[in-house]
Amino acid sequence: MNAEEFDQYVRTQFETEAAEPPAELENIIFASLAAETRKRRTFIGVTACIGLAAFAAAVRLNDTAPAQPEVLDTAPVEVLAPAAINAEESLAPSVNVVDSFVLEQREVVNRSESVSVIPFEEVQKAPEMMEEVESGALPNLGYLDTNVQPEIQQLKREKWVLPATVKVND
Amino acid sequence: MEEGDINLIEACKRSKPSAQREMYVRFSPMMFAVALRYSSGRADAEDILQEVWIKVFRHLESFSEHNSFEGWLRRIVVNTAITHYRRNQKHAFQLDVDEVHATPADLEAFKELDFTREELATAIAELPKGYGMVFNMYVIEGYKHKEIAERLGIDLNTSKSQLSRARKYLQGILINMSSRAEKSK
Repeated sequence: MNAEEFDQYVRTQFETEAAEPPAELENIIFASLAAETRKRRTFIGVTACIGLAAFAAAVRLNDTAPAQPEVLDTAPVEVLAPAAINAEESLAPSVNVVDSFVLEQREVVNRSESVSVIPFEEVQKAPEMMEEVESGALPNLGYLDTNVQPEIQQLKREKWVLPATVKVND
Repeated sequence: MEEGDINLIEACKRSKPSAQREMYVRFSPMMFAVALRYSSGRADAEDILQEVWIKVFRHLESFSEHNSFEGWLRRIVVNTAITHYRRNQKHAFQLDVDEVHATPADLEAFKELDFTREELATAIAELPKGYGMVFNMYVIEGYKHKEIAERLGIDLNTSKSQLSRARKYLQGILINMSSRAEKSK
C-alpha cells in the first residue's frame, strides 16, 4: 500500500465521522451565547442612547445658532443714532481728562505730605557740604558703637599678620 | 444545499433560539469528532466546540449559501483547534519522539489489515502532536502543504517531512495494534 492508497483508506474511514458531545455542553454553550447576546444588546442600547443624546444636543445647538445672525441683521438699527454715538465718543475723552486731572492733583497733595520740611539755614549750607564731600573730608565714624569698633580693628590686625618664614637680611 | 438547510440558516441568522438549538443538535456530532481528532483530550475538544459555536452564531451573516455549510463549519473547527494547539504549544515541553516506523515487510502485511474508524482515531491520537496536526489537515481535511505551513507557522518542507513521518509512524502503530490483537486471541 503506497502513501496515496493509505491516505485514501484513512480519508474514507473518516468521511462520516461523528461523536456525541456531552449533554451538558449544549446548555453551557447556549448560556454563554445568551450572555454574549445580552452584552451585545446592552452595547447597542448604550451606543444608541449616546447617539440620540448627541443628536439632541446638535439639534439644540442648531436652534440657538440662528439668533446670532439676527443680531447682525438688526445692526443698522443701532446706526440710526450716529449723533448719539459721536456725542458719547466726544464726551468720553473729556471725562477722562477731568478724571486724570483730579488724580494728578491728589497725587501732588499726597507727595507734598510725604516730603519732610528742611530748614532754610541748612539749605543755605548745602553747597559747602558738597565741597566737603568732593574734597574727601568725610566725617569720622564717631557714631559707631564703641563695642563694635575694637572688633573691626582686631579683624584688621589679624589680616596684617606676617608669615613666620619671613627673614630679614641685613 | 437543501432548502431546509437554507431556511434553518436564515432562521439562525435572525437569532431564533429554536433554530439555533436545531442547528446545534444536527451538526455538533460531526464538529465534536473533528475537534477530538485535533485536541489532546475530550476536555480540550469540549472547549474547542464551545468556542466554535459562539463563532458560528456570531459570524453566520458572513456565510454564503453558495458554499457547503458543513465544510464551512468544519473549517471553523479546524481553525479554532489550530489556535488552541498553537496556544498550548507555547507552554508545552518538546519531547523527543521514539520513531516507530513501519518496515517494508510490515507494509506488505499492512495490505491485508482492516481497521475500524475508532481504531484509526486511536492510532492518530497517539501520533506526536505536530505529526498529528499535519496528518489530519493534509489527509482528512485535504489542505495543501502551503496552507498547512501558513496555518501552523512552519516551513513548507517541514510540513512535507512531518506528513511522511506521520504516515510511517501511524502505520507502525496500527501494525503493533494488530499484532497485539493477534496475540490476545
